[in-house]
Amino acid sequence: MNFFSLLKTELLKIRRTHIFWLMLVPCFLLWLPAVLNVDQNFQNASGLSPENNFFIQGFMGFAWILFPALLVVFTVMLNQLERTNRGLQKMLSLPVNPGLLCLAKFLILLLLAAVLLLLMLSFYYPAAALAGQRAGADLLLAGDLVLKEALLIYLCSVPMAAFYWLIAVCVRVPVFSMGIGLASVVPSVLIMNTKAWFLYPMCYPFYTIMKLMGSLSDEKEFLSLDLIPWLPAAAGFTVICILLSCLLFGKSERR
Amino acid sequence: MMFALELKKTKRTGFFPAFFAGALAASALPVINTAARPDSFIHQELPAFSVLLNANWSMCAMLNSFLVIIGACILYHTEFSDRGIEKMHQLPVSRNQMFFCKGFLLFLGTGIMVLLENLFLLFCAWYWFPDPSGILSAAIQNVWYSLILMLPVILLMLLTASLCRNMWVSLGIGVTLLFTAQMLISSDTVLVYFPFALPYQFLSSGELSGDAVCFLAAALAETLLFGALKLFLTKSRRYTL
Amino acid sequence: MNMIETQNLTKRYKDFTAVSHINLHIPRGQVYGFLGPNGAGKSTTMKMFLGLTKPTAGAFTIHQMSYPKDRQEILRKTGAFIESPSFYGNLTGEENLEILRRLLGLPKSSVRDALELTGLYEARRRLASKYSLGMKQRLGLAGALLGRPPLLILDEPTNGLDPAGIHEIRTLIRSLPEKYHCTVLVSSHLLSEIQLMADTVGILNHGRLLFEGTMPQLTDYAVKMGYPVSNLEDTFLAMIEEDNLKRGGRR
Repeated sequence: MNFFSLLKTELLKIRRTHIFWLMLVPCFLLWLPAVLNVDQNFQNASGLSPENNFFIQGFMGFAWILFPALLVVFTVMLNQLERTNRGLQKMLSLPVNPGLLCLAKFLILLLLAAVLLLLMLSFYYPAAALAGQRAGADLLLAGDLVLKEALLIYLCSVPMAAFYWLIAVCVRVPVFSMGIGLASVVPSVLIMNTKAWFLYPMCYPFYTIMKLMGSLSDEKEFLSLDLIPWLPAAAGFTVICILLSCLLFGKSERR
Repeated sequence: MMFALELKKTKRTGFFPAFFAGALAASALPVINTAARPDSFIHQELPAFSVLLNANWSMCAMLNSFLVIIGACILYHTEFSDRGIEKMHQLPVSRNQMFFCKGFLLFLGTGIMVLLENLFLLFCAWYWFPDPSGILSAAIQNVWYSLILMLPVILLMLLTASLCRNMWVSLGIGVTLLFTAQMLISSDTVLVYFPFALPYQFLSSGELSGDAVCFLAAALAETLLFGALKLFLTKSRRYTL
Repeated sequence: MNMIETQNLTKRYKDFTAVSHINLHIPRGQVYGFLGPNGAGKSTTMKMFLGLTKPTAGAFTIHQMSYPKDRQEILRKTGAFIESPSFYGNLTGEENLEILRRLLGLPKSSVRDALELTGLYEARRRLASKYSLGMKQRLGLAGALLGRPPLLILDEPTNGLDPAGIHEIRTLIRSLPEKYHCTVLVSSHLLSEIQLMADTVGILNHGRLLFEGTMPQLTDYAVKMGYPVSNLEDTFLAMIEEDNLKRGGRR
């Protein structure tokens, strides 16, 4: 029993969950108003060029609310799948290491996040092209900037995903795991502006996009981020969350 | 009687504790926000309560909507998870009555949140601002205004939850709706009356302006619409889902 | 030669003792019937064998192996079906077994084999959530039989089946030791059922082992103790009744 085939079975478990459609709709809803209100990009006060503004506005809403909130939805889904018909109990009576099982599930969560981000990107290009056509201007950004930022948002979301996964594993009452997850999204807009922002993983994606916005309006090359307190904090946080969740996974089923 | 039973069903689901915790979290935001940088607020020209609402209400409204989403999911999750609802359907119980009782529960939960949030806003105004006159009446007006604007969210979310057997689907739809609303709040079209965008409006002056009346009317119209939709769905569909 | 042996196995939850100092001897290659009223501690004992719950005191060995040292090895050799069946509702019956097959590292043909053994082959493409109670039960059984493990632990496998189904599953269980030399531990609250399937029985009440032995030994024991022997169901009920009286009339 290797880890790879464990991942494959986990992938099989999310069949017919409609999760793909649940991701598709918000991505569509996000870019639709952006295309319809394309004129606003030419009269913004933030000093951004229209094409930058189009990109930033779209990804800002995504990074602040949609991405974390959908991560919470994914964790709820992964847990409900196991608990509704007590599939987890069967899993625990198989010769599988519960910690590895937990890790495989976490990787599925990251995979779903990656699919979400890819969907977001694949909607960005047609949306930008369409909006540009409407406005008679070129709103497409250079590919490398878009990809770099998307990749950065994704990497930044790993500590957050680890935190949500830990919550979902530890807090068995669904209302509380959902509540803690969703409620933690809201204050990121406040904490982001403080000096201790790097201690709050839920604001990382939002933070990077705001940084990018700042550097684009100053016409710098690419965003500069202080990695030093941030990277160790994020890495430590992620490792602790993953370790704890692997240790605690399935505990209540094995009382 | 139905309401008492619905109340009983929320036992040990964490429904009311969640609203209390949510209310405290939402109330803490303005306090922390003001305590961290009082200077940037107290020297503004506007009345104290307006300043506070401008700075904090969008966060409170978002938390309120989140809690309504979660609350609705939970109310129907307890029904679906162990098939309680199938038993309910075998009893001489009106589905609509059950639905609206749950709606009232959600409304109560929201009431707790809105009340506490406004209380803490009052506290901020009283503690930090030099001239807190007129804040009490402003707060009272804002409470009932906010509660009415929450009604469409409550009913729409409850309707969604009652239609989806899997909790994550209703949760996902709720999150999507909330997110969509984020982009419509400042819209200058009719889309600003989108149900989930309404809670972000507030009444800072304590007086109903023309705009505020429009929002109230929209909220009531949408409430009636979603209520009617539920009645229609129960009539036309033998089974939920 | 015993497949499972326990020494003073005990499980205590906060305020009650589910299993109290039981010493079981489950012989290899036989069907062992685990009998007792609801709440006697049958499921708890079985869960301990599967590592789903930790014993408070005592020990047990399976294949001369023990937890937690040989967890993987024990579970690889054990097919289990505990309490109500557990499955994934969004997957078909076949896909559910496919997951188990991959995790156990078995050949592809084992899924079909298990489906055919339990009579689910026709319904394999249907969603497990749409299965009837009896079919869910069969799916759980198929999951336990997957790969024909040398030890089967089945907790009330005939619950929710119709009379024809009960008969079919009983016959299947009865035939398993001869078919591929496995040991079966099967629980039930009906003596009549155990009587038809088992070679050896263990009777449990309120977490204590009242009797362990073969069917003829049970009859001898009943005669000695003065229990009615015309109908074994009455023997069982009388035995439980007396034990409850000893415990102060509590049920």
